[in-house]
Amino acid sequence: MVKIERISLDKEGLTKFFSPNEARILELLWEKKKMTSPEIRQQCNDLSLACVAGTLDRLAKSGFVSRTIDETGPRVRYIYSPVGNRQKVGTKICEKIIDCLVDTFGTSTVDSIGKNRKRGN
Amino acid sequence: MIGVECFLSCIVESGLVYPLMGLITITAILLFMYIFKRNYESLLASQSTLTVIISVNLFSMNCDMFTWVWIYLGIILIGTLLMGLVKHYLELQLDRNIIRSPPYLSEIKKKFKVDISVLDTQKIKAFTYKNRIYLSVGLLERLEKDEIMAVVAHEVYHLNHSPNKLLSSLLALTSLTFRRFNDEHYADQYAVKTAGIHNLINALKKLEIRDYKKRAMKLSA
Ligand SMILES: [Zn+2]
Repeated sequence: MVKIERISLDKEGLTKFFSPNEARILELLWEKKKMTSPEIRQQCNDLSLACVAGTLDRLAKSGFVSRTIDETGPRVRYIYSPVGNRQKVGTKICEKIIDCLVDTFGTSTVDSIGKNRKRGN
Repeated sequence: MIGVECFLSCIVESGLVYPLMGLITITAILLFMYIFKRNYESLLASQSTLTVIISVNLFSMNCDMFTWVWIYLGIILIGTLLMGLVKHYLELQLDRNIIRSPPYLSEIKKKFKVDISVLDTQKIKAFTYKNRIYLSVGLLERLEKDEIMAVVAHEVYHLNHSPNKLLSSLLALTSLTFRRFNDEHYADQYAVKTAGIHNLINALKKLEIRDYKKRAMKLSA
């Protein structure tokens, strides 16, 4: 079980939700905003091509990263960009957690979260 | 020992000794042909006759060795189910992930007279399925046109010369040889002939194919 108070999306917190490779590529994309896959690969020289490719596919599929197909150059290629910044990804993860809680414990959870928040404030 | 005696008496009683001996001879001849010629036709044919031999043996049994029939059927059933699952998964993926193929592929398509589809994935993929070649964006990204040509040539060889994968897997299973025809080297040779050895080796290297050094060595030898 993840300790809720430790969820923050700084370097360590990120790996609670993403694998180390996913976190590393996300950090890269947050910094550079737009990258091609050879550029990403260059920054992850220690990983295999297959590993980087698999990670990029996963990130794109989960919606944390978007990619467009660029055909303007001599070759077809993907251009990757992050969907939302660090903060937005945080919100998205929180929403997912709440969805999970509701699925598991029912809507009463959401009420109790609301009550607890009021008490806390 | 009782098992063997029972087994022999089963066959003798069933009156299938001569047909079986004939089939065994044919299988042996086909296997020799395969060893010398290395063509898939003789491998598939020998696996087919072997399948017949196994089936005749198993189904003429009426002794306590009948459990072997169930083991054999079990192996084939599980194998076929697994293959079906793989095929289903592959088809699902193909349906979902095809994108418009870039214009510069049309020259290659014309040269080899093949259909090429582009798969929307960063992974390195190149394969044939139902008379069509599939290449992934991840692969196209990394290669020059001449290198793509080498990859396509390799796949074109499979398209024209390789046995049906499903059929050869099934026969490998039913004949209990568990051996599938491997003609990767011939496909590589064809690619070298049509696109040049450096283009193929460069492609294998850029795509970080696991055994690329071994394949390159075999080609330059
Ligand atoms: Zn091949």
